[in-house]
Amino acid sequence: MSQALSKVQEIFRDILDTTNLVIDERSTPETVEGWDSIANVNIIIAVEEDFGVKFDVQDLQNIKSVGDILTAIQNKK
Amino acid sequence: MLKCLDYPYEWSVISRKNKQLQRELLENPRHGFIEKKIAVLGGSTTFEVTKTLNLFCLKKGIKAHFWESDFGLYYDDMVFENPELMQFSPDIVYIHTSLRNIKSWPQLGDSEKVIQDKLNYEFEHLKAIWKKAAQHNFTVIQNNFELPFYRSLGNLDGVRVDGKTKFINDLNQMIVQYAHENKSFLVNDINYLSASLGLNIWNNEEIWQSYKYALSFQAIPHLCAQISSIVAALFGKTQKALILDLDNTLWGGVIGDDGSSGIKIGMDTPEGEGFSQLQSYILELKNRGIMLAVCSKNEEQNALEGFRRSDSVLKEQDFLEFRANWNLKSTNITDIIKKMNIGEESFVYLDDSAFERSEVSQTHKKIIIPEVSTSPIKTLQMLDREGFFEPVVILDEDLKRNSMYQSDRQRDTLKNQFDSNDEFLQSLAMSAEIKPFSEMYLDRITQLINKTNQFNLTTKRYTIEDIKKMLNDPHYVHLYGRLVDRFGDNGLTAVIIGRDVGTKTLEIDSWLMSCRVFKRGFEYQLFQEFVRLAQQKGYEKIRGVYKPTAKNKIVADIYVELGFKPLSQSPEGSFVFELNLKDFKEKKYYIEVQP
Repeated sequence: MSQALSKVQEIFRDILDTTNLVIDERSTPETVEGWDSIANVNIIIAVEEDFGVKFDVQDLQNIKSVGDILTAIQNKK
Repeated sequence: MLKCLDYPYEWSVISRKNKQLQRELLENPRHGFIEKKIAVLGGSTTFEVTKTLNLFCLKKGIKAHFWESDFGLYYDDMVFENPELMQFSPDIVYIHTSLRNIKSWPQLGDSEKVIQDKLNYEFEHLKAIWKKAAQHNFTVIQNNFELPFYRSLGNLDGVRVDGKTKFINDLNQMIVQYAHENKSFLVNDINYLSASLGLNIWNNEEIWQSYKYALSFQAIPHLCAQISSIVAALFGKTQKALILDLDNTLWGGVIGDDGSSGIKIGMDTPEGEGFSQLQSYILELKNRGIMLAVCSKNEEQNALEGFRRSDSVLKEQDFLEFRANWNLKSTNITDIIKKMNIGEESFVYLDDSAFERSEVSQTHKKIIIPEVSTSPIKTLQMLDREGFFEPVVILDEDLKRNSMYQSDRQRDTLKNQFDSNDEFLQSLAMSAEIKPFSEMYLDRITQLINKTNQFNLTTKRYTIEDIKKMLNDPHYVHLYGRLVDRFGDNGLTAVIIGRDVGTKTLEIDSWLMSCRVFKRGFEYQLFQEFVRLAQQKGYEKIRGVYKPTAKNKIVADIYVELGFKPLSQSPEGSFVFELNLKDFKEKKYYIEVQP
């Protein structure tokens, strides 16, 4: 697991309050229980804070999976 | 981890670990939780606000149940009485509006008349919500407005009549005016809060555009901490007294080593100036009724010298208790609590030494002991922002509290000069005003009901609107008591409320008294007047209810003392007693009741 994915997974575990959740690039709101639009805001904000990046409104609209999050982080670095 | 909820708040931890924090708060209650219902009516997204407010309420000892309006329906849900909201029947309605909800902004060139119409439009829109809430007896907490983020008119924006900044300032003034006239309406001052945090941090355009949050996630804990302070104040969960260490807490340096001339206080040194500011703030707290005590490891004489400096803001007489000795601090504090006669959870203790804080916290688990650094300004900020002493109203009784405490000490001294308690009571020349509730005492009656823990038979809490309803409700019989003696006015210190439960029976709904006037016969005198009033109204029986709590043991036997017969124990653990009024025998107490 990449370091970035591991950090994102930690964020998901905190926010969704599931200590043994496992995610990968293909995880989506449909496959991850609790990843609804409300939790999504916390996830995005935690990712921004943790990785020291700032997404544009456009980036946010493109995020549909964990892979998209990782791509968005990569593009901002 | 709970430290992230202390000022200045770690917002990212709070927003990330909400559920874990909630569990920790629930597992580790500093004192018993009370449960309250809060409706959050949002003019913007409120999920994170509500989740965070939940944590800050738990921190203050309030388990809150929430109901949230759907997005932006803050007006409709209240004004058109959403049945769900009505059924939820909140104790508090929190109206979370912001600049984003202003509809009729001024336009360049608008006449004064047009501006006034626009102001009225915005104000009336909100007022309709408040009025409806008042009809239902819901206490309202209303955000005022933060300042506009941009000013196309530059500095003239706050000056010209068509400026947006001026418009917001005027609208906020109208909200203040309404708060003056309506007691169950409280302003959540986000204008102040956003300024203190900085509008550039408060406002986050991306988060508004994408998620319709009216403030940044960074600002949310500040907002929620402030609301939780108001909620805590409404339900008597705030603190009443401050115990202070001296060396490196109230002044810089160690007075035993440095001498009174060597400690840092006053305007001569930068550090001294900081400590003076802190002392001034504490003096202001004292002047509005917060009780102060010293607890310091020092020779008493040395400690006193520090306050005798001409540039010391606080003076010896500002402290109701002064413990400077070499005892364990926890022992001194046990003594202070006993003398002040208020609950342990009503105290905040400030000490720069982690060792002493820990020693005290082992014995006194309910005292609030914040981390204090040696920086007086940081201590001052923490003290101010944590809202320990948040008031919802400041009454005569608060302003007089410290002098009343001094009279208590004089009374104690006098007591020792008599052989019997009767002689002492007689010498006090007590006189009481015992009357049914009236409009002018509603504030104080509500305050007393929500703050009294020891002499309190049922520990029911009521809002001012609840009490107002009882004024003319024939099903309620109520009395308040004020006690005056040769040492002065003790203020309004006792309340009794009976509720008609049919078959010519009155049930004691609430009966409480400030402990300051305990053991002077006042509680019996009040009850005697209550019996008379009940008889006049045709009642034959009084049913006494005693609901035991951790703090009200002192009144466990009062019904039996008054001649009540034990009747039953309710499933919730309350004890029920009954008194046949024709069996009641009046007695003479040393109190003259004013006609």
